[in-house]
Amino acid sequence: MAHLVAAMASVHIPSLLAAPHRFAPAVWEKFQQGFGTLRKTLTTAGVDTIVVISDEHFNALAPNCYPTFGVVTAGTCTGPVENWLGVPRGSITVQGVPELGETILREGAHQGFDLTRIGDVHLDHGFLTCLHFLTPEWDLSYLWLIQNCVLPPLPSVRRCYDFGRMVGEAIRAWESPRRVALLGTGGLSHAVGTPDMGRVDTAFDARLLELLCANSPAVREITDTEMDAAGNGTHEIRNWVAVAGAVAGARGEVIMYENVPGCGCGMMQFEVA
Amino acid sequence: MRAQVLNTTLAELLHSEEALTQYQQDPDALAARYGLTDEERERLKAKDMGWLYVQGVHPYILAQFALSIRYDMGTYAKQVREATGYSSAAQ
Repeated sequence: MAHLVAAMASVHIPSLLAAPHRFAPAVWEKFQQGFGTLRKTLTTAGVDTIVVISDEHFNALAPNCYPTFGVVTAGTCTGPVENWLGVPRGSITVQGVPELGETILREGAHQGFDLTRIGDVHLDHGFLTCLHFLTPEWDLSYLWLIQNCVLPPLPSVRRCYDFGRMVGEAIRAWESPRRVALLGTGGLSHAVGTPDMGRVDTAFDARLLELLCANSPAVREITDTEMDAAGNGTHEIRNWVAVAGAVAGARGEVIMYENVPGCGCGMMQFEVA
Repeated sequence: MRAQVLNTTLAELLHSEEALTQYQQDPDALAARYGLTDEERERLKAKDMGWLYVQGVHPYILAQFALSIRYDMGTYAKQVREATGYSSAAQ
């Protein structure tokens, strides 16, 4: 059976790729140290497969055809799809893991999660940003699970926690010698494209990180109203919560947090036995 | 209904080099291709982000459309705030 050997989460703020010059040197260094810590975890754990849980931002999936929970089952995928990400469009090709995608589809159906199979999709910054720093050679295998964090009605946070739990069980039940890491990306508090863009709610972020580090069941009770108040982009914390669900009971640690103008930025990892 | 048309049109611009080029070089043809009204066509040509936001274009799509055409995001924020009457100490 496959082994789930690492579980982590990070913001995927696209300016890390599109506008690195806008970061103060000390803040940039903080990000690099954070990614370095997560990279070391991947290396130490002997990870050969990374399952990314992130929303897609309508760069490749249109709003009239968007899954609540989706799995990308293509053998290879290419990105970025954006023309503004600071990485040439279509210059990155990653190896997929169709067998694991199909395993998750089947396990999901058994557990009440009817995922959408997405045969191929161009990769956007939700998938690419963190991995650009974590595995810059793109030499592992990657599976993208898409959660709807952007197009209401959204699945509840509780539902996303349970989705993650199902994903964790599916990985562990997968008949493969692979060593798998889970990476949730997005958030933390921020607003995208709305009149309140620029806002950050550090109190919300601190409470969220505390709940996640304790892997507290209370994290499942976070409401849409709370996230709306912290900015529309805050809904992406569902991707962190799903990772917590996959390793239910495991405690976590904050690797870094920084109030970057316009986005509460953090990274964390869980203690996976 | 019109929001759906606008969202579909702008989402196409996010991933289609060909559609984005058409918007930049022949926006009237693009508007005809997607069945935009005269007002939608003119507002899109004018990059009237505030109007597009109020019409219901998804903020993720609108903001990334702005990024894809290298639009000044400070101007973007000003436009959506003025169009919605938003005022906050956070500005």
